[in-house]
Formats: sequence, structure tokens, C-alpha cells
Amino acid sequence: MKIRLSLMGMLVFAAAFSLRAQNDAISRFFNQYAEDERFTVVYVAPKLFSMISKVSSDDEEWNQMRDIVKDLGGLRVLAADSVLNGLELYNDAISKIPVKEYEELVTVRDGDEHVRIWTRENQTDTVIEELLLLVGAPDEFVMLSLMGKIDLAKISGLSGSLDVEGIEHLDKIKKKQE
Amino acid sequence: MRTFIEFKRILLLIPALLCASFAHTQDAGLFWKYKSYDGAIALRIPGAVSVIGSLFAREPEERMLLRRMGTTRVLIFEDGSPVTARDRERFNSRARHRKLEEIIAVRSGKDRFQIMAKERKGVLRKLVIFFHAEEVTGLISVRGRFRLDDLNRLIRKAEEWTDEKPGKLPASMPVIRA
Repeated sequence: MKIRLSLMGMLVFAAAFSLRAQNDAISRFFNQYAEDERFTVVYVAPKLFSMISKVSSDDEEWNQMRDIVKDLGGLRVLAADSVLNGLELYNDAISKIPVKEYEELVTVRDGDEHVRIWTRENQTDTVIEELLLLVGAPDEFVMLSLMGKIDLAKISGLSGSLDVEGIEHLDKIKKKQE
Repeated sequence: MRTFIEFKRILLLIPALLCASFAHTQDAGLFWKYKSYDGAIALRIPGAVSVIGSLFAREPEERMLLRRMGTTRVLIFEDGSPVTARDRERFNSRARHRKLEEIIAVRSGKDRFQIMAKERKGVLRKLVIFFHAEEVTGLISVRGRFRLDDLNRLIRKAEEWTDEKPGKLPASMPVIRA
């Protein structure tokens, strides 16, 4: 009886964990290529953003940056600029994104280069809580995920402050708003 | 007789506690494992040295920051590194176990850069920087009690200094590079 109960408990735990893993398809995509040497992987923890937001300065640019990052909850970038299957990776990533949860914000196709930006809103207070950027070209692939309370009017300013591969595509949000 | 047994227990407890506290100070084992290796540049600067060094600091802000520094450990390999992938994994898992939070992680090809921090009640207790490239591998670990206010004061001082002597210090906003 005890063995049966413990087996059932283990099964319930396993099911719960597998559901959680299924929900986080984007994290899995990041993790899949986290150790692949063709890619550059960047992770900035929420703690760093919170620390930056506490450092005050008279510098106007710094204060603008503080204003942008104060509510951010983390940044993940997966980028490759010399791959042979950039478009394949792009299509693979698109197939893994739970489209129902995201709203498409920007779609750009320039020759062979595809850029798409999605946002995910908080159901309760319609605040954007995740921004996902995907770039695919024959030799390039970028996946950028930004979490936290995101102000679309300000977020393109990050591309000037962070020198991270692929982040320059955030400028497209500004262009769209103009 | 009973008193003697209790006394013996206490006597046994003292070395055990000493061993535990010594193990706690080991910086995830990496420093102690490789500090005597051929080609290793290993430094251990006790907190007292920083306090003495603070006496020679000109600015009170610098003095305050130096006084808050605890033990600093530096381990650098310049010509190839004996640190294996398994060592890195162990280092990361032990760091997480000791409540060190990863605040930045960048991997590009075989190069890695990580900053970890331990913060409690708004005070930065420990900062660990780990970098690994083809030829250079390094670990810098700083213990201390750094408050963001101290950092703020130092930044303000640097700004004043830059205003007085323009061009001597970079006036531009800090940029996170990947």
C-alpha cells in the first residue's frame, strides 16, 4: 500500500514538472542552444536591473536608462551571426512559440531577413510583461526575450545602452510607433 | 565521569566547527584547488590590507568603499587553463548552493563571462567574477559589505572630478558588452 502511494505521488510530481516544462517552450529553446558554440548567449538577471535602478547619477543618459530598466525583470539573448541554417532556426523557433499567448507587434521582411516582435500582456492590468524578438536570415539568427513591466515607448532606448548582439532590432518598435 | 564525557564532546565539537567555518570560506573550491598550479597567479588579500590601504585613499568616498572590502581572492591563468568543464559546473552548482545569484552570464563560442553576487538586506556581501577564454581564465572574488549608497557617493564624486578635469575619466554612460 505504501509503495503504491509513493508511486502515485511520484507520478503526480512527474506530471506537474512535465506540464511546467511544456509551458515554458521559449526557455527550452534557449536551453537547447545554451551550450552550442555557434551561438552567443547572454543572460542579465532581474537583480542587476534592480541594482542599476538604485544607482543615481547626475548624468541624464544614465537616468534615462534607469527609468527604462527599473521595472525590467530579466533579459535573455540567443544570437548567431555565422550559421548556415538561420532561416531553419527561425522557423523552428516560430513553431515553438505559443502564439495564442502572444500578440504580434512588428513584422518586417527585408529580402531574406525576417524580423518579428511579439508582446505578452498581463491579463489583469494589460501591462506588457514579455517582449520577444526573433530575427532570421540565411546566416543570422537572434532570439531576444525581455521580461518585466515593459513600456514600449521607452524600450527602444535600451538598444543604445546595451551593446548586446541583436538588440538593435528593438529600434523597429520606435519606427513602428512613429 | 559524566562531566568528562560531556567535556570530551565539546572538545570534539570545536574542531568540527572550525572545519565547517574553514570550508565555508573556500571559494567554491576552485581557488584552493588551483592556486598552487604551475602558471597560476593566485592572490589572497585579507580585509585588513584593504583597511590599511584605505588610510592612503585621498577621497572619503574611496576610503569608505575600501573599508567595506573583506577578503579578496584572485586566481588567473594566462597561458592555458587547467580548469575543466566539470570544474565550472561544480563551481556553478556550489555557488548557487551558497546563495550566490548569477547577475550576468555571457557565453560566446568557448569564451565565458559570469558575474555572481550575494545580496542581503540591500547590502552586497559578495561579488564573484569568473571569466574563461582560450588562453586566459580568471576568478575574482570579493567579500564585503557594499551599500549602493556608497557606490552612489563614489559615482557622484567621479562626476564632480570629471567636471573639474574633463577628459580624464570616461564621462559616458556605462555599457554592458557581450
